[in-house]
Amino acid sequence: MSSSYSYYNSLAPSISSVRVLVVGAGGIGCELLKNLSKSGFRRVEVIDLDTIDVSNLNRQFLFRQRHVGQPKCAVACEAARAMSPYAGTPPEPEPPHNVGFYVAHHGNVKDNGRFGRGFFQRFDVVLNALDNVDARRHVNRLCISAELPLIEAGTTGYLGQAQVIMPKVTECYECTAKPTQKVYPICTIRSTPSMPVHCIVWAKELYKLMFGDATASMLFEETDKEKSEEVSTFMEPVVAKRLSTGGDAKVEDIVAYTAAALTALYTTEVQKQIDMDRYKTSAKVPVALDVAALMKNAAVDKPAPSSLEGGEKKVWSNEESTKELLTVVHEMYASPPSEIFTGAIEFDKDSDIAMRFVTAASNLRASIFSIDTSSYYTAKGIAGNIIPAIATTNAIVAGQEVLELLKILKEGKDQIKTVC
Amino acid sequence: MATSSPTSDQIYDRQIRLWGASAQARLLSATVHVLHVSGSLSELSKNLVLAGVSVVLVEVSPAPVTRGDVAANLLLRAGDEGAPSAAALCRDRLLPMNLSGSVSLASHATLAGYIDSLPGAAPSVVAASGLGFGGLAELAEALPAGTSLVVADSLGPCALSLHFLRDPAGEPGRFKYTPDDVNGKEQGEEEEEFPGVGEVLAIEDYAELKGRWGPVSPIFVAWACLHSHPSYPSFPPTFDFPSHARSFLSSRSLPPDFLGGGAELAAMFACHGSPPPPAASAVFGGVLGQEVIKAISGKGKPAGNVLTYDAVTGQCGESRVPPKNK
Repeated sequence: MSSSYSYYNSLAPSISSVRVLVVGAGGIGCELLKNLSKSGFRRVEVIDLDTIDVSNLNRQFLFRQRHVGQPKCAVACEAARAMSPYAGTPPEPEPPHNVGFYVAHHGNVKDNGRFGRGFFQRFDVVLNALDNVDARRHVNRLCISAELPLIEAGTTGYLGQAQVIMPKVTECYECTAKPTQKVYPICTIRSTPSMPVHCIVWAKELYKLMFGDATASMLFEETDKEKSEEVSTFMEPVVAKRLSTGGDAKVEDIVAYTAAALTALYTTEVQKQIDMDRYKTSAKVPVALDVAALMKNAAVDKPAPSSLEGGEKKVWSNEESTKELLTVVHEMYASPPSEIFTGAIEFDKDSDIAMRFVTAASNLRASIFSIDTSSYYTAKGIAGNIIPAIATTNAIVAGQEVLELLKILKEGKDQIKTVC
Repeated sequence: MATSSPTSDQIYDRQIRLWGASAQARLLSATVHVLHVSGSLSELSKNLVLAGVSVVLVEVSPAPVTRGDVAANLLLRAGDEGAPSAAALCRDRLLPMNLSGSVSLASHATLAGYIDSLPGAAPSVVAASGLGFGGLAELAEALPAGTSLVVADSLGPCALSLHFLRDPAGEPGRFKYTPDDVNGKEQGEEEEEFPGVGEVLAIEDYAELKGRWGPVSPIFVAWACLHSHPSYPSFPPTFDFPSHARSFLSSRSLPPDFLGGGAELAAMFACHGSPPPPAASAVFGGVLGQEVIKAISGKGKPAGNVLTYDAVTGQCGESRVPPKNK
């Protein structure tokens, strides 16, 4: 233990001259930039494509409420410069590499035009602070190609890890298989759901079918007249009968469209499948909804207040879900977003209207198949693949990344370790 | 449904999904006192404030900010040297991170003054750094019944914390908690006994205790060696640490070379009072943050009552010093 005490004394020259690339300026990235800045690293550049959201503020401590909507890398770099020992005398970039003093690059690291091998070769080391496997693989391959040390890190809730990848010394990021995102069979989603997540995936596809690029939806079918008996009964009322998106849809047309769509989705098509004996061997046979009765109780002549007024944790009844769908369709056509004209609407978990739609639509489907229904809060977590995140795990992992970087500078290959 | 300013649920959404709404409610209503915000306690303060906990930064006999203070504290910056109060600057920089609760400053001329104020304040947790054995004993004696104490100090790249958790209901020596969910299922409540501060400080035979609390950590022994000396933290220029260390080790039934030879002991002593590496403070401050959150929320099994960390080797140690009657 006592040999630790003189360890860091000789590192100051290396720290001030080494050229560091940080990929990601979110939870781990904020902690990483703070550690690098306070440690005296001067030549640091940052890539991140994201903008700041309210839900980031519980851990991404370089950001404030007033920054919501701004690029993360720009705000994070500004804060890192301010806390640096060199804040008063910022260093000039040195040729030939010209790596700057906490310089932000707002963009996608996978953009080879901006961040190709030549860009990476300006640096001595790369530190990852990413949140997805795809980007990690990309950076890993670039670092192997450029023969750069890479310090990889990740967190999920209470768990985290930091891994040093030294070209020709250690295994790389892809040497061990990584878990892939769960994908559900189409038939499960379309016909035989058994879990809330199946219904939520179905609802996201319905959202695309109704408002986005319908042909990209899992629920889309070609309406070939020769095979008309095999086409789902909801295709025409949901897709073919889509309303005008010019902002001039009449209330009565909106109500009629919604009623026809919901009837087809939750009554007609379900009953058709039951009558075809699709569920003959199922433990529980689904029960089609009486959409007409549900619509009767909804405020059919005008948009109603959202059921979300009752709180995000409340689980809506079928009546409330039906009313919510009607309200969402009203809102979408009364004030159509520009993307609705081009079919470019994509599901976004941070879009209130999209999440209300998915919650309501998935709950109606769940009730048909006797599956537990979900609150808006729970549905959002499932639909958005939300990973719980806290400041402490990010702090630990980012701290360990910089400590491993110091070991690299010390050329202590035998000190390199993966920390879990 | 647009809102003009974010709600508490929106801000803390990602952590509520981890530890639940009732744990979050306890955090939002808790207050932690941080006595001597520096090093890993500056990181701890940041982590708690972000989680929604109210923090009181306690300063005793504040002195002007030094270059060493700036290097040791995540919240201080170049240009702060000479400012009359480090804690006041830390408070100003923590405030914007706290979107509920409060961040405030309590200034006292002496430790006794702070201790006298404790009964009226009744914080959930006191996190303290830079106290000798005498100060720790006085502080522990005066803590309100339901207040937990976390002691955290560093020695160069090494760090140590002692945890004395108390049930908010005030049952002495006991702490109730709910372990983390297993496979999505909630677990039943469990209970752990923690020793008293005085008991740990009064341990004389580390070798005898070894079998009951696990391997004796050199980091703990080095910490005790320094903090038990009456002169801590201001040692006279002529202080012979190697000699004191050998005497201390002998008194604790440990071999004279347990902490290394003369040169190693001198290097260890030279780190006393030096700022720890920022990244090491970040790691240990993260660990402390999680343990304090457990102490407040009662969710998650506490990690031992003695934690040690060596930033060079990356090794963490966890020991459980048993209560006197065990």
